[in-house]
Amino acid sequence: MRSSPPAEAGAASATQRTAAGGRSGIGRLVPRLPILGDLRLGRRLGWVIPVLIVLVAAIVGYNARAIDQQRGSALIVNTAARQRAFVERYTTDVLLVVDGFQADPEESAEDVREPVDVLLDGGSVRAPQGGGQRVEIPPASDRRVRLKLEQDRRLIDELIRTGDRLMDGGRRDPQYEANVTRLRVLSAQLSSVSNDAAREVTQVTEASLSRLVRIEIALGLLGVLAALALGLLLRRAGAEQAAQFRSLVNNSSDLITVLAPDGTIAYQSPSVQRLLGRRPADLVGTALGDLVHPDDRRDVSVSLTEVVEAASGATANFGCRLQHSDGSWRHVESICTNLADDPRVHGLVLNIRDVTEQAALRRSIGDLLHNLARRSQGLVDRQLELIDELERHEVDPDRLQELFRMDHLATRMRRNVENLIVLSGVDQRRRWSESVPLRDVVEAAVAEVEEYSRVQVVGIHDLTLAGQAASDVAHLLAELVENATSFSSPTTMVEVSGSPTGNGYVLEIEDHGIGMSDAELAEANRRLAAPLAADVAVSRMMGFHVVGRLAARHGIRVQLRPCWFGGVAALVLLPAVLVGSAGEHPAMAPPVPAGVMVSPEPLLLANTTQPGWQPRAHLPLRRHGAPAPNRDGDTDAAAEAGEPVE
Amino acid sequence: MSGGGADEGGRTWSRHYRRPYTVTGGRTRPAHDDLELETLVQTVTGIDEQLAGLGREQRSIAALCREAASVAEISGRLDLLVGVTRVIVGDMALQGVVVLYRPQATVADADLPPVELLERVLHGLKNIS
Repeated sequence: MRSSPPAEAGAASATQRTAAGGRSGIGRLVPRLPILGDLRLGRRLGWVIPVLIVLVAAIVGYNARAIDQQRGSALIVNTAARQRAFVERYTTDVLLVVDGFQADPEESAEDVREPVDVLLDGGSVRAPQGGGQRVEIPPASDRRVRLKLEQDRRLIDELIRTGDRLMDGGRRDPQYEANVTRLRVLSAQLSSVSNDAAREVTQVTEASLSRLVRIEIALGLLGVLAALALGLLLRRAGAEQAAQFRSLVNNSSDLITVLAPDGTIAYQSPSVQRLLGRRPADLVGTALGDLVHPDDRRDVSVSLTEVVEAASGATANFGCRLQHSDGSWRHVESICTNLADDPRVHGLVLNIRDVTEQAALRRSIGDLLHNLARRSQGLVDRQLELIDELERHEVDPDRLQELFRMDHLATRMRRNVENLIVLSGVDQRRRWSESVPLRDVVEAAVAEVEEYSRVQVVGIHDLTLAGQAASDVAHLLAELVENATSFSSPTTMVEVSGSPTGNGYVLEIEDHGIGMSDAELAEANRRLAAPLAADVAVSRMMGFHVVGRLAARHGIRVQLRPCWFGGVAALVLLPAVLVGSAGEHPAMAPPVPAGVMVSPEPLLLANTTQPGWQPRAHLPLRRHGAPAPNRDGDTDAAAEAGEPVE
Repeated sequence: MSGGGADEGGRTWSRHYRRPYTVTGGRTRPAHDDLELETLVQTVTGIDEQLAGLGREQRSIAALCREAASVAEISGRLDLLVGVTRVIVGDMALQGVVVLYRPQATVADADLPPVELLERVLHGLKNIS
């Protein structure tokens, strides 16, 4: 039981590997589904968001540049327009000076020159509205504008030269009239050219402005489109995710049920329609217990209570049967999670999986196993009856020895076969109606063990065991005794003893072996407490599993614990309901025999010269090793339970 | 299937599941070669304290043999195999719990079959039943 035969272990680990591979294969696929959606969404958002950011940055940047250019353009147009006014002022100033009035044509000349120079070569001009503020403007780039401006400049130079000559010569100059006329003509020409230049500049500026506006509009449109696309994508991704979740919930064969703290169904996934033929809306508000098979209600209630009382996030697994609307029962396995502290759930979440098919398969395999084992059982029983008959008539010690060997093998075979019947899960036990002396049960168990001669039965009280449990208890003890003999030295004894307790009777099987590690003990006790359905792991720890199953059938509790002197003690608590007093079963002691009229002659006197002699070390004539307990004390203590008998 | 039913053939659970080889730890050869079916066994008187330390079969035999009984009779009454009974009785004799007597024909009337023979026939019949 503590180890496994190599071949079995190899097969088992191979199967486990396969199972593990299968599991991880499924594991790779299934949990990825929701994550897959996230990834796809992430990739799409991945390019939409940068595009949007670039667009917004471009719009903002362009806007800033456009505002700047607009200001610049307005200034250029203004500067070009001012040219005309400056020319006219200069002409007037020159004529005033010539006529002897106070004026400053030099400053006006500067004003006339400045706009053309700035417009052509770039530079700063006084802002039209901005007091003393000066604004930088770039040199004109348009070819036609430059031509007009250069013409403008040449005319301005000519104008200023003419103005200078006029002011130098004065009215006395014979050229005076001609110069005045020339000045006026130039001024008019300049006005016209300036006008043209201003118009050109305005046109160019307008064109660039309208280009700016068009780009801005286009960028704005693109931005709006990108934002729309982003919105649509987000919405679609959200909808996709919701649909994915919905389809997971709706189309999976699993039920998702949320239980309110009072045990009523607060939410029921739609898959319940398929599993139980019921509409979710009809179930919400009803108690889960109404769906559970009456035989399973206690277990379900125990599991749920455990989860509720445990910390938030605790889970428990349980299996039960739920009723379909057509009256049939569905086998389900459920994982229950306590999410009472989660404000979005506030209850218990049950993940319920339909295992009816598996249950049916298990049942049919169990039936097969059961049928085969029953046939073998019948054959072994007949074999044992035959051996019984042969043994009854056998007086030759050697032949009896051979018969005993056959008997022992057949008895062990019967134990295996009957264990198989138990493992098959088919609950069809032999019905021995009469109760059986507990000692007989213990001795039957010893007979089923390979090394039975190493087993000492001591101090089992004169009690009886309910007949329907006798075989199961015998096999259970046999497994534990077998375990004890297998894992202790062949020279040591295994002791089976018993003592009454308040709630039944405890049988103790002690070995003097190598013991078990804490981890092994824990694992063995876990198996003993919660026997699983037959599977690969079970076949490796068959013994403990059989013990667990047998014990569970009769409410027997089995526990392994280390012995202080080394080795392991197995404790078997038989519940009081199985144990009866021996009153109804008179002890084996026969009535006083009728006297046989013979004249006796002493053949052999009692051999008192060898008081300590024992025929064979393992013959259970006397307690071996340990000193005999205080029999009187035993008898007193057990007066009500029965007399201890070795 | 035989043995599958409840208490079939009058066999009790104990008859069905207790096996004879455990009684003697598998031994079949008695400590005395001359332990015959008709050998009489009688418990030594005043040995009650010592009985408590014996096994259940030994105690049953000791109780039965407060008045002398033959090995065959013990076997029949206690439902023990003859082979097993001989081993146990032999051990008990070695331990000084019982004494053994070889019965002798003391019948004077030679016309009658010896009582010993009749008894052997009787026990043989009992064994068959």
